[in-house]
Amino acid sequence: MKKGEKDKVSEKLKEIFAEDPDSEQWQMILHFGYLSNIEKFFKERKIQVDDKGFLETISGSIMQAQEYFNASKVASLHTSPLLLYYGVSNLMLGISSLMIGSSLTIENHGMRLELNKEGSGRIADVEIRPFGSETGALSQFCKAFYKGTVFPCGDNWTILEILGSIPELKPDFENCYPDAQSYTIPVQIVRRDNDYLERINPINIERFENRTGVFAEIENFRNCYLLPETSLEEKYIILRRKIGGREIGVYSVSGQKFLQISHVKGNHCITLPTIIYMYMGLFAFGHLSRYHPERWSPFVRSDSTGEKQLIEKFIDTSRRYLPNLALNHLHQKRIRFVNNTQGALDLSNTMEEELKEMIQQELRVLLNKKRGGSGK
Amino acid sequence: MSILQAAYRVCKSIRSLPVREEVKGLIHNLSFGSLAEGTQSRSYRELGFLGKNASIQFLGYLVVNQKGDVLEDLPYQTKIGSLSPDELSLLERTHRFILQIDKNCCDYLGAVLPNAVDAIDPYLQHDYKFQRVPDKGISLNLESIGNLCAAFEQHPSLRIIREHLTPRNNIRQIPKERLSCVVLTIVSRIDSYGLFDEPPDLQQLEITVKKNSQRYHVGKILTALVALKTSLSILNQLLYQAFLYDKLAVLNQENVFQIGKHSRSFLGESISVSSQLLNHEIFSNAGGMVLIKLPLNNHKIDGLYRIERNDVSVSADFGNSMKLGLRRIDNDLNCYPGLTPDG
Repeated sequence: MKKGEKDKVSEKLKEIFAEDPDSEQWQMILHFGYLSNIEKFFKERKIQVDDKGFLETISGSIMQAQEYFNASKVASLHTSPLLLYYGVSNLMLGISSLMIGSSLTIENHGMRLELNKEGSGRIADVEIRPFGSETGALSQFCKAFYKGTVFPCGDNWTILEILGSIPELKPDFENCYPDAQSYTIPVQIVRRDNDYLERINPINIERFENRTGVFAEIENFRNCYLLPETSLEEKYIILRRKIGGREIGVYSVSGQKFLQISHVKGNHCITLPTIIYMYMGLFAFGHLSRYHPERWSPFVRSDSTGEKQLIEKFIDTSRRYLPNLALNHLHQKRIRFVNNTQGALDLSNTMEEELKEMIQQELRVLLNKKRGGSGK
Repeated sequence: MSILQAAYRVCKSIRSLPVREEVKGLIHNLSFGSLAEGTQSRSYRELGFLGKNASIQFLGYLVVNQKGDVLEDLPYQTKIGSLSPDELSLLERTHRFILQIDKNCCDYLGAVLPNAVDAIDPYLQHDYKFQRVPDKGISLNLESIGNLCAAFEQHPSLRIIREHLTPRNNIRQIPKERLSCVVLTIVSRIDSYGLFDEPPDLQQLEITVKKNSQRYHVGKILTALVALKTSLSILNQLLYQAFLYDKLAVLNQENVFQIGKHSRSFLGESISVSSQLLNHEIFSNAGGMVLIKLPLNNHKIDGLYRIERNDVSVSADFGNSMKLGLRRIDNDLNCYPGLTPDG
């Protein structure tokens, strides 16, 4: 990064004042519940839309999405996943239609559940099998949210992999499944005067089998970062972005950055956006609750492993953050809801010590010039 | 063929010299210690450290070796080891080799302005007395040396000197010691202004001094001598690095993470670059030569540079990095092209 240049993260970050982030984000989404606002949105982007049915689909999807979301808040875990899945499906249909500018052809979920009858009994071992690359909802939503990449179908995903890929769940996931590998690595961003770097606490990669090679499993890592460097006393793993290297990784609702480990599926290494992981997870739990009550009901009633608590957290996180992610994709910005004082810029912190050091340095240079400097 | 191209060819020839492995091994031992009996010691490595940081190529080690007793009297200076007779002989051979190439490149100046030959000697300030009788020299491909000398005859400084050596010009009468002192003073003055600034009076020479005046002609010759001295100094560094390393260090997308100030001034082009620490085998001291190969959209900075400053930072919290202050070197091996403008 050039000296003086803001990193691309801060340029793409949009902070919006909100006393209640959930309410505020839905205000922004419900803006598209009105046909005139949808028409204005397309007009601004020079997208010609004549099909009124298409506009009604967007409007209706968004209005229904909110109602399902609200219903899921007051329902128990017996039905909240299903309600939330319906809400998310509607929301993603509406938002992706806005993003693409045309209607999507969706004939099925695009994935199905495969229960492992001989498994450990953990919900985490239930598998999801994507299929139907043309008309499945999963594939269609990937076109909008996964930058047009076609989702490879055929290989199964476990709920464990899905939960392990969601940054907000990381500590609870690792606590619930001590032997499982997470697919996210938290990164600390350090900004200093004339310097920017990212660093990882080595504890956060201890679980990976191949600790030295873990960065090779992050998509585009070598294109974007220099070789990782372990600092003195192995205190941190230091990451430096390459000149011209674009930013990779995702941010949690708290603003913490995470690098994502790819999933190997067949011949592909896949890294999905968090919104898709959440969508797949909600499909799994919704489907379990709706079509496998013989499995779901006893789990909800009397789980003693702690999985239930993790899944509840997943549901709550999805409810809060999935609409935020949808807005991020729609507006191509990272939207963060904050509660700071607005309209005031505090410049009172003059960094006295740093200024003193800078002045001393300049004086040394001037004195050196006066003395004639050292010869070669 | 430019001086730079000719210098690269000489460097390539050096890499196939039989004596190179011996020299490389010796310098490596001085830097990192040796497993050979009697040579691995802190004092020996102290000699290596001081010699390398003198930034005058092989002469650095020779001077430290010769003046070890005097240097040890300095505050906080630890014991300095000594070179063995064979090591001394080897280093003197390689230093003589460089001196000979310098002498060949200065032949033309010697014919035009004899009292200026010492002034452009990069090693003038260092009083070293050879201690070993040379038993055999280092022979290099004559063609590559010939090309280098021919290229040096085309150095823009020599054109400027010829142009400004008028009959009225009394620069030939200036004693060589005094002329050397003046050239050295100009070099020191440029250094004292740092990487991104320059003495205002140098630019004033072109702007305010009357073009036909004695002062202007002498000024032009003096600044041309500074440029020529710089080119020889850079040549010596390239030859030295050719003995020790198979290739030049490269600053590229695999190690650079920040480009700082980039300035094109009257004197030349300077840039500040932050990178991860380069491999210890790659020369990164002040005076060293590095290549920059960075595909930047807005401006081209690729080329050969001299390291003017290297601030190394080692931190458990922020990692290891170095901030290099660099001057760009042109095809005449000159990092002050402003002193030799086209006629």
